[in-house]
Amino acid sequence: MEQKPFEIIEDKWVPTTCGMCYGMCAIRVRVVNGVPIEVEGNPESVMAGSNGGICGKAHAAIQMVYDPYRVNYPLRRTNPKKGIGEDPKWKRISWEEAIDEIVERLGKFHEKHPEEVGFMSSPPTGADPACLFATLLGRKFGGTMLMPGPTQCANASHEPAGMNHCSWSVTPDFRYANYAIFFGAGKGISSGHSMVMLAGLRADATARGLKTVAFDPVCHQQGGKSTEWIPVLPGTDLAVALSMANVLVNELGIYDREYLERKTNAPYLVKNDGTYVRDERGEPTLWNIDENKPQPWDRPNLGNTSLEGEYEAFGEKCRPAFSFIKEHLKQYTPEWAEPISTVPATTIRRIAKEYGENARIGSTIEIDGVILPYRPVSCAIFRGGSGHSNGFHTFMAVDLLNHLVGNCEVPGGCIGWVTRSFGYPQTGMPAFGPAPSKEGFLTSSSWHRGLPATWPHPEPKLNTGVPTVASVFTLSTAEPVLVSEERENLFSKLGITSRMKALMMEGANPLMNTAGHQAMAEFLGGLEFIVHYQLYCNETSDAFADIVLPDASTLETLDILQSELYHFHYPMGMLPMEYHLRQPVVQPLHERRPIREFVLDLAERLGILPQLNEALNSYPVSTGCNPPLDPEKKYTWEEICDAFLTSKFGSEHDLEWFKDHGFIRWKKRPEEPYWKPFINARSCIYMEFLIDQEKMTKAILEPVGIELDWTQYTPLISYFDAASYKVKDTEFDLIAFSYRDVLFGGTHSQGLPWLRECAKMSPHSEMFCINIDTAKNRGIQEGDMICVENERGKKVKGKVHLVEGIHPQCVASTSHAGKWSDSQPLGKGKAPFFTALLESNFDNWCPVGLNPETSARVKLYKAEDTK
Amino acid sequence: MRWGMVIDLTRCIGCFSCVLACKQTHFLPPGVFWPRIVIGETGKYPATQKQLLPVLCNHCSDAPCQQVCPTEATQVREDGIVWVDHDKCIGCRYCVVACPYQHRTYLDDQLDKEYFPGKGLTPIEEIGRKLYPLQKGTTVKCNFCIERIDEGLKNGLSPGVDREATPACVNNCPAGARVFGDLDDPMGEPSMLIRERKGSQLRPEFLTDPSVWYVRY
Repeated sequence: MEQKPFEIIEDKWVPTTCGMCYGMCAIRVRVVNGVPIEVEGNPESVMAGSNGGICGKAHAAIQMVYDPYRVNYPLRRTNPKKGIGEDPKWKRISWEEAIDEIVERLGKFHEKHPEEVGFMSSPPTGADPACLFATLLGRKFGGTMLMPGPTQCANASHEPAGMNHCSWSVTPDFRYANYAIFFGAGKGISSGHSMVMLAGLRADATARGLKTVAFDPVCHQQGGKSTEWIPVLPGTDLAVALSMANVLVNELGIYDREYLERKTNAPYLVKNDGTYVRDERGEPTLWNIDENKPQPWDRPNLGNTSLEGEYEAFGEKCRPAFSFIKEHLKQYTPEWAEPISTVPATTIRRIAKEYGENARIGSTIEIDGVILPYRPVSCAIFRGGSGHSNGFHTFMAVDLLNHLVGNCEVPGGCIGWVTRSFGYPQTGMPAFGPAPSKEGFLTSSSWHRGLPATWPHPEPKLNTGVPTVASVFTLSTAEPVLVSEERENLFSKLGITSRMKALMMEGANPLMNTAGHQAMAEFLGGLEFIVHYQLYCNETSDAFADIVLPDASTLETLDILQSELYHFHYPMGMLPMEYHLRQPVVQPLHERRPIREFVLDLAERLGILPQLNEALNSYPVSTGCNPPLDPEKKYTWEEICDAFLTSKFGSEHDLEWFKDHGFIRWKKRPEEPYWKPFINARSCIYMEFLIDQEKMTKAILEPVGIELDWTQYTPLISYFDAASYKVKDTEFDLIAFSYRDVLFGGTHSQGLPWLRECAKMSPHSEMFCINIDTAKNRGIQEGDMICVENERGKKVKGKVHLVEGIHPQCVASTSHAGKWSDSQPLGKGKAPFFTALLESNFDNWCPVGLNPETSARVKLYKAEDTK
Repeated sequence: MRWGMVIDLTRCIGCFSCVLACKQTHFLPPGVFWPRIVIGETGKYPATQKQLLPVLCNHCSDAPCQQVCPTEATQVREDGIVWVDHDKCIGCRYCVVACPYQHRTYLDDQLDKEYFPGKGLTPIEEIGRKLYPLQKGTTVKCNFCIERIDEGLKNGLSPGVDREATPACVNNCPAGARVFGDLDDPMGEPSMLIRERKGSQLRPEFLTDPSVWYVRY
């Protein structure tokens, strides 16, 4: 019988955005006869890579749509026993049953103790959509945010990046950069952070001569692609950065005096006790050289201010902060840093010199008729550098290198993600931007968790009525205490009687991604009721969830929240502004349902829909919805997206317009990306605020006998050993660390066949890596099964790959791997479960920013089971 | 006229987009890759450099695979593209052995395999069988997206310039590491790159004269 020829009924490209990691890249998807068969970068958009390029992960998004291991229906656990290894015995239930049960069980909490319900959101569709679930729904419910600080996140980088750049992270301005240094930051190379857009910009810059230097323990992603790889021990970037700052300031005398005077608190007068000299109003003061007297920071014509010297102001002996910094840095010589970091002193000096000389301090550049400072050098830091118990100081030390040369938010320098917008020219929306705040410091108009400001930091306060100490540690974007081994001890000492009893989770796999995963297991096991809205059942849901709800994947979802402030939302630098719609290229299969629609239904059933609508009206802070949503009306998610779009871009640019066009674009003015010269506000290089922060935190913790390393609450950026270096047992002679993999954006994509096939070509993706010499000394050969063990006896097994390109004192593997759940069998057992080596307790948290230590002191040996 | 590709090793970040863009364009079954990335390193610690080498069929002008083919299934077109006429291929696999770059794959039971073993074909695989039918018992390899080139030329488009006429791996590279065009055009981008940046072919001692060139800074 002759086969009927295949008939193509429909063949179209649909513009949307990728959600395979939180890179927020623009894609288009080819759909033939209703089946998505091809993903590309959107060639029309600058939020894709070069000429519409995209990374490998994005292609696999189509496999995710049809992955037979997806959750397709609401599921209820029928095995009452919970725990790792327990079979949940999922039973399919209807959406009605699921919602009824959720409303009934959450309703009881809502009436009396809503704070006992946790809300956690780490959606596999990108970070910003999380805001609707956790920030808006959770807050209006009265619940408690659960943010344990996953180990692949650079928690310690966020708060100071917000403080100094009004941004979630920082990156080189590749378009104008000539020299860029990376301290454990994979910008333009690995997952997340507008990856493919930066990859294209970075490659173009390299082609015209950009030199990149990577301080990195492994020659893999950033280390492997930089012009110069400089191996450094994990957690010692702080020593390198401080010694480079010392070389610049004290040996070479290279620093941007004008920038430091006007754009930082370097000239603020400081007394010998470390606090500012304040005027009658309590405002910090500076020394006016012309008039030889102190003046408040906010006087209109500041004149020449002093960076050095001893003065007497308001009856107090004092010096400018910079004078203290300069003197303080003298102890951090390259020779001092060498034995700590293993980076040769000559290398540190050379790099500092190259960096300083390439900074072109004093030079300007004209862009679109605007003359701007030109500083084509930068230092970027992210998780690799700051994911340590000295993370806050490490970020600040690396960022000091930026401020010293005056490169922040200027062409070629160190820039944040888009933090200033004058808006679409016809409507002036969305408009947001940094502004001066208390004591002359910068603040942003929107910040994470819907908070409006990056400065001043909230005062530490104890709230015994909620099951979290987030209000005590206000310099952190995470709160790991709640899920750690420290919880019961700390909570009982502080008199916190409230305990989390139920948990609503969107995405997330905290059992695999949180340091101290056994404590996390105990925490989850102690909860009465867990709802997990997920693409896949995973380790966390299999062990502990009561109800699993089937989420729609990126290609099945309508959304605008990925284009709302604050993560990695808009094109960088002088690339034109774009605002994208995410739209379904295929309707959700089976009974999968986008979580946005569920949130609206749940809010209605719980009686908090009016509050949710009102919150949407002002979200995110300055750009929300106008005309406002009627609080009493039940909108569909489509209607809300339409309202957001038309309020920003006019009625002609409604949802239907965006479905056709994908995104709207307009030209930026140079004052938007390069805003620093135009905002009369300062960044912080002298952390006077830590003095008060210490007093207030101490007042809460010390009376109950909780001791932190208070020495880290010093205003002067200083060196502290990372936790892994405090282990004294010489048997534990290696430092274990992990890196993000370019192939996987989280645990959820670990079971996708295409990505797994590529991972087989990429030994760094599936194996432990150690140096060839390190292996030789231990009789270990390529492919051997090894065991890596921390000092508490936690062991992780995995195959080993031997390379030259890793520090000989280290062992490394990819993060968020090592799945054990049968729910995603294709990802099971691939790569070591690195996170099991990490501990989560006061010894391993940065005492300032509560960042979990992401490296561990370990010993390594051949596993008996060598299969 | 000779179609060719220049791969800029300095630009490549090893994201595997080229590998998977090809997979989706040609609906390649499990275990079959036309482009691949070879990952290695050079230099002793600490003077180590990671090496990413994206490889694909070199479309050699003196192609051993074509010379050994007993049925003339493998042909070198006038525009330099080395392709396999699957209707003529008898699956003798002589070409698989002859290719010094090991870029040929004999399709044995791969087409019987599902990407999610035991779960049936996904709609992507099902539609792929119809849109891009590969034949069991024949040899496959990269064809420079020959269909795009031919269809594009028919519509007045320029391969390497117009997206619709350009190989998928070139379009999808986020770092712009791949450039496609006519190697015989001295002013074309590939020729200029090869000239200005001293391009090289892989293993020139094989004397096959590949159409895939590499440059680095």
